[in-house]
Amino acid sequence: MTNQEMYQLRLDRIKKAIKLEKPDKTPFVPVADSFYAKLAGVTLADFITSAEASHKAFMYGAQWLGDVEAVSFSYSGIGDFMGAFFFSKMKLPGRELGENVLWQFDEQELMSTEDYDTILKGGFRAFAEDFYVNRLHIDFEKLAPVFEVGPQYDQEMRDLGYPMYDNLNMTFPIDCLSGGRTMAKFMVDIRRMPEKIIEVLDIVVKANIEDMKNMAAAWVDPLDVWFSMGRACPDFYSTKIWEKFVWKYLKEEIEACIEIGIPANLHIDANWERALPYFKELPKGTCVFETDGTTDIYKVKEVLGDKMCIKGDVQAAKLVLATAEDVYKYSCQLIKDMGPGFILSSGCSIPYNAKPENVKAMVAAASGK
Amino acid sequence: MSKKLIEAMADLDEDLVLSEVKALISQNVLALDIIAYLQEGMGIVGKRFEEKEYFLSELIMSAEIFNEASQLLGGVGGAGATSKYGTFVMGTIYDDIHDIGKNIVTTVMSSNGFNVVDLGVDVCTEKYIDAIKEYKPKVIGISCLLTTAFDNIKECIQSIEKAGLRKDLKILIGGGPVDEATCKYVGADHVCKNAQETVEYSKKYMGE
Repeated sequence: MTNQEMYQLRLDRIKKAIKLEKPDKTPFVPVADSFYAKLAGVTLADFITSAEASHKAFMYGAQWLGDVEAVSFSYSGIGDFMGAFFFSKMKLPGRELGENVLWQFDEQELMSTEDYDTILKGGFRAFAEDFYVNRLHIDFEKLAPVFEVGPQYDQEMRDLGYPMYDNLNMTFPIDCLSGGRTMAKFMVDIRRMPEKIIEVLDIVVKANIEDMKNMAAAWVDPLDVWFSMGRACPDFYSTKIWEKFVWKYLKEEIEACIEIGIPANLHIDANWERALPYFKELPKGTCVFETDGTTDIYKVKEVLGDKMCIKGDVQAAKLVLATAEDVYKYSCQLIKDMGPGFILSSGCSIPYNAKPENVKAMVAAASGK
Repeated sequence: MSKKLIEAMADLDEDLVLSEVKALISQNVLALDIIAYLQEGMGIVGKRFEEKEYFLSELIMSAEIFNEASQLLGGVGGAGATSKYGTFVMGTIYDDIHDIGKNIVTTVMSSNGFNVVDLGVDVCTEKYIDAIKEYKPKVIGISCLLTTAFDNIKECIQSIEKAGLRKDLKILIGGGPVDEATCKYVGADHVCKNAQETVEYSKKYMGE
């Protein structure tokens, strides 16, 4: 089979799983970045600042995995720009951290409550653009070559036969606002100035949807729109507050993806069990519920199994501490119990220090070899 | 006894808590008595959290109100100035700078009657050992959000043992990827899934 044929076959497997149909094999679509760098012998310092080095790592990682339906990206190298999604500064390997210490968000109170007024007056995009340059100190001139070469690297990954999953994304407003304010301060803001926060959320969500639609129109074979929603966890808010400040806006953003025919991949960190019934409101076969293992995947199956595709959930700790046999057995059990409408994946990202044999065990379980 | 203050604190009624504290001050009620009322209200907040009536944002808000009220009392009661249960030492292990979870735990512990010593993030083993020697806590917490830091926690706990400081000391761990298998691997005593579990575990061990 040619690379192009493999590419189509892999695309079809993922699309079928999302529509809750039965593909010829269970798709295996891990979330991974730093793990590939380690495999390829690329330092994290290079991976995070060099598009070329990170592309080498992703290409190496995809081929090392072999029988994998998609990779997350074809390159990285965006450094400080990673913090833009969470309105946070970054601490980077080779700069503030050791050469091979994982990059981390350095959450500080970079937004004040007055900034809500600025957003209300001048709009979210203008505020965000100023914020990136003047508070996060992102050097867009330095990043320009990375974004320029990106489409070429994506094409090279496709030419190799691998689609990309998760690389089209949409920010969820709670993530950036609570990142900029800090999580605790934002929680207090919601109680002290609820009406103003609602007005701000209205504006942010409209801007996010517009941005997503513009990006999607220029995207090649978008499999999903990736949502990261760790800070919107229902265990963080009372039901009344969660419905008003989280679910209303999350649903609006998800429905915007569905409207243009691209599934929403809900990357769920932390425990969302309380919120599972809300997702039943979404049309069948249009979303993917991706759990990191904290939300019990069997509960997800019980509540949403006939509604949406499930993705997960070989936990990070398991990939680091368990044996390959344990991972293989766990993965096989998931494939058996989840049935069609399932994508085998790591729970959140494959960690830098995952045992390679444990990752291979997931590949073996999905391919039945 | 100010039932009004206790209930206002439990209901997270910020304006009422502050006005009631001011009223009690003007009536010459002792600051320590006012703090005791606030802490009783915090106890109800904790109970409501356990019963899933309240969630993390309510815990954060309660700590915020408690600290504001403490400021009116000249800082009495703030940051564990009235330590009912003793000292709790906490930090994020070295090579990990995540502080959200740690900050939530230290805030909630402070407003629940613990004297909290926050070691910060990226904390080396020596700093934990020095803090244990200096503050003699019965419970310490080690936070971590990276699997790459598991070995660091393990090394830290082994060093605490080697220094002869583990006797009567409980070591709690917490953070996103941490589970029971991690707890066993690093040699900790208990995994705390959230801030309130840390409060409850520590209260039991440090004597309620």
